[in-house]
Amino acid sequence: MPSKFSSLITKLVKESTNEHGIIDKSLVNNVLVGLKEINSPMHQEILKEFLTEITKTLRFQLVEVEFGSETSKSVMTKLKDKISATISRPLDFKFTTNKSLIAGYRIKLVDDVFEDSVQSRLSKLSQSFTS
Amino acid sequence: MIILASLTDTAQGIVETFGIDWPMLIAQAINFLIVAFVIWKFAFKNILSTIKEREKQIADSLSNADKIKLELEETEKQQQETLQEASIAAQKTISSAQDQAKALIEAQKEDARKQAEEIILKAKLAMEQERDLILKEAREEIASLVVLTTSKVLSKDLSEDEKQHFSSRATEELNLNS
Amino acid sequence: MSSITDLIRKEIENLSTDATRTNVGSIITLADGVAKVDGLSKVMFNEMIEFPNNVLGIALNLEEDSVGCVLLGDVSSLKEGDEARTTGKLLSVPVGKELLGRVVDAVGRPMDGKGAINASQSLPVERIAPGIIPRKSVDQPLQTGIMAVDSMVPIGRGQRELIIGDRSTGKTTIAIDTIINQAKINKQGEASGDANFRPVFCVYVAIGQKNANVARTIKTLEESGAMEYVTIVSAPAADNPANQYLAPYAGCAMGEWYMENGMDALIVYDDLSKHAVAYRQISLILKRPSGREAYPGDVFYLHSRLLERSARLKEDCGNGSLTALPIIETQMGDVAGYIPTNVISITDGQIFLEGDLFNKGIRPAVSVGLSVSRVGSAAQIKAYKKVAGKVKLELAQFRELAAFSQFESDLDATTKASLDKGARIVELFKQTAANPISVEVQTSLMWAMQNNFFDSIAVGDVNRGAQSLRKYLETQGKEACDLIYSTGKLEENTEQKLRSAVEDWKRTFS
Repeated sequence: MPSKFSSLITKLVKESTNEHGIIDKSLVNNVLVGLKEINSPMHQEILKEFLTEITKTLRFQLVEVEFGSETSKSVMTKLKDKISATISRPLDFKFTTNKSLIAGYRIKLVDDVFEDSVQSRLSKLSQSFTS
Repeated sequence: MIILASLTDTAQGIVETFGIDWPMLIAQAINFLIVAFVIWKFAFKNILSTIKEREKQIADSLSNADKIKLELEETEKQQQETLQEASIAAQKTISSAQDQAKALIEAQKEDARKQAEEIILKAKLAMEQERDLILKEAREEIASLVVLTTSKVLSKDLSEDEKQHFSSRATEELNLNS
Repeated sequence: MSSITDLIRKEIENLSTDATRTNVGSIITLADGVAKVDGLSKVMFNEMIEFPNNVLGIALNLEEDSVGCVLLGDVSSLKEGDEARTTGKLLSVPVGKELLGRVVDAVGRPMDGKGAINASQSLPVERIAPGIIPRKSVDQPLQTGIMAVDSMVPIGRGQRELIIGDRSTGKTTIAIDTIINQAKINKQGEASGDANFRPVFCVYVAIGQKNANVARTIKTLEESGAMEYVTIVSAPAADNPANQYLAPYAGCAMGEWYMENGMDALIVYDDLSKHAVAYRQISLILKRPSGREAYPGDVFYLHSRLLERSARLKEDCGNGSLTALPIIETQMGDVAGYIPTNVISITDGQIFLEGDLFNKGIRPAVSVGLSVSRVGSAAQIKAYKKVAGKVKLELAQFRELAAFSQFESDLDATTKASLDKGARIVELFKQTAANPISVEVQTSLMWAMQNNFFDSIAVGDVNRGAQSLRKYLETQGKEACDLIYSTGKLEENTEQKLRSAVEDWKRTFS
């Protein structure tokens, strides 16, 4: 349901994003400070909707990538390019290392998980035994 | 005439001799007649009819006796027949009962046999199930052990280069639309 | 051991090395067997959701940013934040003849310790009922083996006949007796080697019952040798409500398999009142709006979509059928309650069992006035139709007259005759549990009653007489019964044979 502030919120969210379309913490802080300075009677409601929208956008922008071991920059860029090519919206990549994967990757994109790692193959194998 | 006169005299003589008194005689006769009538009317007639009845009864019972005799003979004959029939029926019942008893015994034997077979079958089935269960458990156990060991070994023994290689190859194969 | 290494080798060879894609979410709240899951954006309605520790759930509420799942199995191992993943599969259960003689839970997992079920097929639990085109009107009898039912409220293959009554009035007994009779007929038919014989396979769904009761039912079925034709789907009272909610649909899917493969099946839902209660619980926890008696708005649809799946199919659609005997428990004989009226309106008739009759010793306690079968005599063999045509009317009249005659001391001859006949029919209909009577013997007994052979027997002795006649007909007087069985009709020569048999019996009975 579009609220009465929807156009304002859209603008505020846009103000919070950097040149790559990614939400920037300092920019969000700027907006919050600005909102506080205006001190409108509907401050609370606007704030609430703004933060909800920011959380939502963050959720959609975040791509969590886990590698089983230290990975070279080239592999990371390749992965970034590959994902950006299929998904049109701006994405914020977060790379971490997860030793339990042993080798390979695990990508979490909103609520989709793409996984190809030694660990996932082994668990697939153990599943095929029990079923 | 003389003869006639003599006869009359003779008669008179007789009457006088026997002392017949005519009025007396007539009265006696009338008395007799009255008594005779009364007896006839009240005694003799009844006795006669009773006698007649008795005679008839005797005749009837005689004829009845004959009839009864005949009937008796017939009944005896029927009785004989019924007895015969009954004995045949009894024979039949006995034989059918025997047959049924035999069938029952057979059926019970069959039942017992079936039950025994069933018990054996059940035991066999239970054994098989147990075996399957143990096998399945063993399989799962071994499989999980294999997987566990493999992962331990791989995580230690894989060199960083090999891990990198795996990651980069996997990245190459990544297809988000799959 | 070599078999195991072989197996492992084979599995490794077959293992796919592709990247996996899964749609995941995490548990936000977890209460009373229902989990609210964040994420799962690609979930389908009624899809199976996989939780850790092999717990399964079903997505029932698809909301804007969360999914309501009912959980099947042990909920205690789950916690907030646990990952849930979609499986891409609708909840389905194994189906087929492999399930005969087995006891399974609501998702088709064996519960009887007899090992795995090697069913080759499975069907989704929720399915659309057959439409108008493949259906056919019900015209083949399904013998319950209970005289009071077969004569007055005959049930046909593909019919839905509700069994309704207070607690402990013999509802389950009627259903179990019917199953036992099917097994008896199946065995007889299979032994005869008749190629046209159509066995009836049974599914018994126990919803929210005590485990002891289910065990007793299983024992009864096993003792009477009926278990080999029965699948029991059990969601006992200790199970979580999701299992109780799903069990009838799972059982129905198993029954539908027979129907769709050109066979006949019978399914008993024992009982749908508890099913509605389980669904109410789920709905309330899922925060769906509640209506009358706190049942959700779709409680009618809950039962209508289930019972609509019972049908008789046309010959060119396989000629199969699924007969349903749902059971509803009333409170204090109140058939006007919410769930009873719903189910009465869905089904093709009901067998109403009265507590008063039951306590008077008239068992089965079938109420003549309130029991109907909307299929009627179309589902009776010709011979039975001929002898039992008027019996319902006679018995109804008897009940009415009996009520009146309580105030009247001297009655006219016709009333007295009517009362007498009624009392004898009532005695004739008394029948013990797990003791079904074959249709030909039922016909013969009815014939003897209608031809006044019981008139000279004292009312109190009629039941004993009927039992003795039954024994006689099953042994010495078999010829007449066999004729009725083979022809299905009561022709003149059959009637003559029957008359001589009954006369013979009458001479021996005292």
